[in-house]
Amino acid sequence: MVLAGVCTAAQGSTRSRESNGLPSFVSDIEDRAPGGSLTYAAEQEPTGFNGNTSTGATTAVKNVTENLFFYAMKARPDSGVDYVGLEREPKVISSQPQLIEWELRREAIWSDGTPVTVADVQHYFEQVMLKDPAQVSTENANGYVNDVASRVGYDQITKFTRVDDKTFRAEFGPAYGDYRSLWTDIPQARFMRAQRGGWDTGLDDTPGPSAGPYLFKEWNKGESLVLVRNDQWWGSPKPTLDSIVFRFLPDTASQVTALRNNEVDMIYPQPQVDLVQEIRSLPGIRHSIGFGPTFEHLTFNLKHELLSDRAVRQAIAWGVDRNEIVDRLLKPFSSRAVRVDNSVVLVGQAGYEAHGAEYHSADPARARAALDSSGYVRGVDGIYEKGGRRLSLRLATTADNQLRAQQAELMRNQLSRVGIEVRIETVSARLFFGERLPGGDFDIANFAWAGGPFPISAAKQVWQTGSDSNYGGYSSPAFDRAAAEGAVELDRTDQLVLANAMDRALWEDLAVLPLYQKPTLLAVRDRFVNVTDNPTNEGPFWRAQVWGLRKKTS
Amino acid sequence: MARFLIRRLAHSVPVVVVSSFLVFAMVAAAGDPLAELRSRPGVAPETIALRSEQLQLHKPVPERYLGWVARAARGDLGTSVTGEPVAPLILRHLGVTLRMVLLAVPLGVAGAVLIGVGSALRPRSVLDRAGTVLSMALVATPVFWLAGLLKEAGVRFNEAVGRTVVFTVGERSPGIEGSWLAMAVDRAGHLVLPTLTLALVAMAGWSRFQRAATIEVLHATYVESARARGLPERRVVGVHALRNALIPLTAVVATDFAAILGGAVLVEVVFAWRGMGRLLLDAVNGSDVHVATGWLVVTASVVIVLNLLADLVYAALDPRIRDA
Repeated sequence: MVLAGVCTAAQGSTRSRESNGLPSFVSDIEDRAPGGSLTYAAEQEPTGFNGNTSTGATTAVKNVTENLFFYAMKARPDSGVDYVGLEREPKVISSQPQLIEWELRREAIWSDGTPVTVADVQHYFEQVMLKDPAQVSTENANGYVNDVASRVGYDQITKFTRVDDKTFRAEFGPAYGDYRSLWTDIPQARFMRAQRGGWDTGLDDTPGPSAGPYLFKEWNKGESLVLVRNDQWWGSPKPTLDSIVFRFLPDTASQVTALRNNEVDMIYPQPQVDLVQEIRSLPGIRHSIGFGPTFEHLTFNLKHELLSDRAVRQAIAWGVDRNEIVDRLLKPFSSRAVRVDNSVVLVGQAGYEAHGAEYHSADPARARAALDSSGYVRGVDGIYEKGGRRLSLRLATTADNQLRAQQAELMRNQLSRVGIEVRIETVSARLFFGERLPGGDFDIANFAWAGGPFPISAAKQVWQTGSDSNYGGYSSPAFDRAAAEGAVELDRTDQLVLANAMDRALWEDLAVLPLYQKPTLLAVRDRFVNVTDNPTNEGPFWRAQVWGLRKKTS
Repeated sequence: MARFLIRRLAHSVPVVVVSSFLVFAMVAAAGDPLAELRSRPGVAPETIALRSEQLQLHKPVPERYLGWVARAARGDLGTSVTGEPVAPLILRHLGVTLRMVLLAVPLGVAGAVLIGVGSALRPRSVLDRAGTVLSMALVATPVFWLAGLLKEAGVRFNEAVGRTVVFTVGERSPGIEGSWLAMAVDRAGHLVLPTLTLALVAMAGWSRFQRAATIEVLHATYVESARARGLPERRVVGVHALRNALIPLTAVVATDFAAILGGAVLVEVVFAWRGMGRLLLDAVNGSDVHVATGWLVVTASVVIVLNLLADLVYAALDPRIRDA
């Protein structure tokens, strides 16, 4: 598992946005002219509309359903939370046992005219947790019936009570601190019940009625998916665009040409220097760079004979010049790119603290001193040795990623200066995530984790002792204690204190070396206004109701 | 003739079987179709275990392959990693690719005949030399590069005329509504660049072939004798020479059809058509063994049928082949 949750490095919005005319998320919404259709070049095609099945839990699906289904909350770019579908913030009725009350928006209705009610939420919950003793097996110890990607949080609910049509309560056992993240992406219960395929495949071809600002119109598989304005939508401001078209274009180069050739109006590709320069040169296109919720890092395999020595990890942390990586690889297209010094709470998120101060700038002399004091001696070729074993380590990362290839090369050079040999190994993403990481077949791994506005449950999954995604084999009583306390802490401020305590433990043990947050790039045709990125995993579709045609100034 | 066909088929089937196993084994070994799922937030281990069981990932590859063969023999090519039935998926993509190919082939033939015959009638003329240079340049150009060049040219053309006339991605504008004519114009605008790319590539080789065939025929004794009988040159070339010079090209086109399909696979990736090329790329990248193997079997079958067709055409045109 990966760092869970929605998150936000809101750095991408007001503070670090490379504004090329795009409004920041808090700025005024510009006036819109009625009508218009925006075509988005989508890299991936959705697999269906149920965003919580093993095949559907992707950004491609979420980008579509974000404007169709019921959402109790959405993450804001500043890591705050908007309770878009609720009357108010969920209310803590009691904390021992933890009992929380949610009240759905009174005016919330589906596009078929029926109200959004507790029945919709309850049906979703029941489907997620549906069990059948006949299904119990070694792989499925709980006997779960449906193909559900994530039950995180829902599996802590011991009792679900309907208070009235719009109000319900959930009791958690033990406590679940991130209860605010629940009840998103919920389809209409009545529609789901009527589908023969049920939870697993019932929403494969059509999403049913909409509770969002847009309605599903058609899906030509392999080509495009069209959403049209939902005039019945209960929220505000009302959408003005006639339609949003998702056009499936897997190749970034094709996307840019299509943008230039007026075939699409908006792209959201992985930024690279030459790509950003090309987009900058396009007339009539505005772009913005944000800093997303995923951060690049080095994970050390703590079971490795050499890396289990903290002095070696320290030497690497002093040897790798993280500032040089940011300056050379990110600054060329974003002057506000920064190093990240926290693996739990990210830059731009509320509660961010820069830890690991002694490693903020590279210090080759200190790196060498650490190795000297740990009994290493320099060999004839300048590479350290201890007991006849060379300090030579594999750096594994994913193939076909220019940025990673460049930074791996840079780190190899930096570490060779302190006497550590690095052998770069690039493997396909599937092999890397599917076999190398789970199998512990790496020395140092360079990849990215996604953070979120609910950092504790996310970080807990990655570094808690024995956790599935704890690829480096990290184990720390200090971290585990803070994580356990954080998981049941209901107060946001206290949660962040504990989240930072978790990160301090990570720095103390140097289990991971965070590098920087990955930039996001949104380019939109000038004809449209109010299209802004939310560089959390909400993405640019988080507020599509405010998109519209630019009003002509008379 | 029937024995000839049966013999050809008997050679083809083992090739398909062996290559399908190789593709199956290689794609299965190349990665884990659930890798992405594993790297997603909060996915429960039991979810991964269940998917792994559905996809039979725990079984050895030969056993999975045999299971697939047993189902494929009954016409069931299985389901993709995302649960979509493979057979209709392949047919849909094949249709897209064929649409491009079926238009490009006649265009390529027409261009090849014009250049080939024109060059043969006036050897070493400006037309001949220009035709030779063009053909050689096109033969030497990688197809995806040519596609990229034409794409750039198309965009510049649009910029020059101030509106989008030719399109660079897809087969049509999504969600387009309007008259029958407007839709047809839109489709045509999308077809121009990919069809032109494919037609140019095909034309290059064929025009050289057509030139050689025409020169050979022009020096044949029956043409000489037609001239000796005092027939006008137009009639000699138009009726006697050209008709015979076109026959070999027919067979070459049929044989080359498989190569054109291969070229189409690259062209459609550049122009973002969702055809067989994209399907194969996605299947290999996604470690989707059923789609990749199904792709191979269907493509191989198409190629085998086309080659048989080429043999039949050739045999019909040249009795020496049939009797051999």
